[in-house]
Amino acid sequence: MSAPPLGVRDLIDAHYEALYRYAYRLAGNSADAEDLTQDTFSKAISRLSQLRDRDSAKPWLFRILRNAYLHRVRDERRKKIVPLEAIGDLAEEPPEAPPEVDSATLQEALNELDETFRTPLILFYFEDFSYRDIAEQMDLPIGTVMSRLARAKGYLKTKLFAGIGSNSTTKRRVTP
Amino acid sequence: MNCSLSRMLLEFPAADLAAEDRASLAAHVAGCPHCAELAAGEASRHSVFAKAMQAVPMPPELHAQLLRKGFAQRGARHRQQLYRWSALAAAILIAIGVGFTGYLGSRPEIDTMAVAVSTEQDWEQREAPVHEWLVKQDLPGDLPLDFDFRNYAFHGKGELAGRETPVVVFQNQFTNPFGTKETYTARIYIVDSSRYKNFEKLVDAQASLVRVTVKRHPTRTDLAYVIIYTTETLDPFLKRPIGSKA
Repeated sequence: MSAPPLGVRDLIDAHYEALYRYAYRLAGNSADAEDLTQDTFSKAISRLSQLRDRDSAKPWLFRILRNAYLHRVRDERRKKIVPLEAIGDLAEEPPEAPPEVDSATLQEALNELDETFRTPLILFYFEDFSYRDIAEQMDLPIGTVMSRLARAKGYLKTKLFAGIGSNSTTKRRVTP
Repeated sequence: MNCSLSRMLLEFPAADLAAEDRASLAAHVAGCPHCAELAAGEASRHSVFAKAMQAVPMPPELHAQLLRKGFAQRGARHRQQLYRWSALAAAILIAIGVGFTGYLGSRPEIDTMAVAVSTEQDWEQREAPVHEWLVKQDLPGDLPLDFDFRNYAFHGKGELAGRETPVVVFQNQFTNPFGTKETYTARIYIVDSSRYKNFEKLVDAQASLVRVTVKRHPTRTDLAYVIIYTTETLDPFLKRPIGSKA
């Protein structure tokens, strides 16, 4: 027997927190995140009849949100993007992780990343998307996702853990 | 599995590794202190990043706002669909109404006068070919009496006293008191004096079932109409104006 159709309340209750957090990490501020979340649900509710499978609601909503975000930022090229060539040298041995990372500091680091690197990073750490899920979400080959994630993770480690528990002087340069 | 492959696999989420690779990696890490340290570090960093990534304060009103807007949108959508269906239904009803009105308007109207005239014209049209044929025979176009062409059967040449003679034939059917259908006939022969002797002596005659009436042409003295018929009188073959007695 098929599951009953997904209602508005079901959709919002099940996914609004994850969507808002994703939006926040993408946009970098709460106002844009709220707008994006509203836009996403508005679009989703208007197309709810297209959703045949309850289980696909989450990736469907995430995709709508990302498209909405990309639509917003399409014309306002980000000024403070750090190209990965400029990340500098990374420690060959990953530095030891600190007990925790400040949310705002993490956001600052994310804001400096281009969306093409930021999105897989958020999905990977935040929602435990597999590489395959991220590839589907971003319409990319899985190899591209892997390479972008490797570079983005390296950037994040360097940015957030620099100087913590590592005395290594052997460095390598990350090139895109 | 060697350390190089182990370090590469450690970068992958467990969900992306095949069960076989996951098992090999776990076995290698269990026996390799260096890789175990890397794995622990990777897990620790993942945990820290994931925790930080999720540490997003949730706006307290967001859930209520989303529900309010969602239900409003859903309601508006339902109303819009209702309006759309209503408009469609109304359009269909209007189309049916217009079609029905058009049908009603397009039905033919019975003009009894037109029907009467048309029917008479139809009957007269039967008379016209006979008229033309008689004229072609150098005979008067009109018959000596006002015959009702509803009973017209044919015209042509018929034998009379051994000679081919122009003739117009009328037939009528009636049901006798015994319920049997009978046909009665009137044959109008147009007789030319040049072709028959004793033309001047032609007179009416009567047998048990047949009567003969002779009508002379009022102007052409060389012509006479010999009418042979099977009824008591010629009345059943003549036009009867409405109101006249049979």
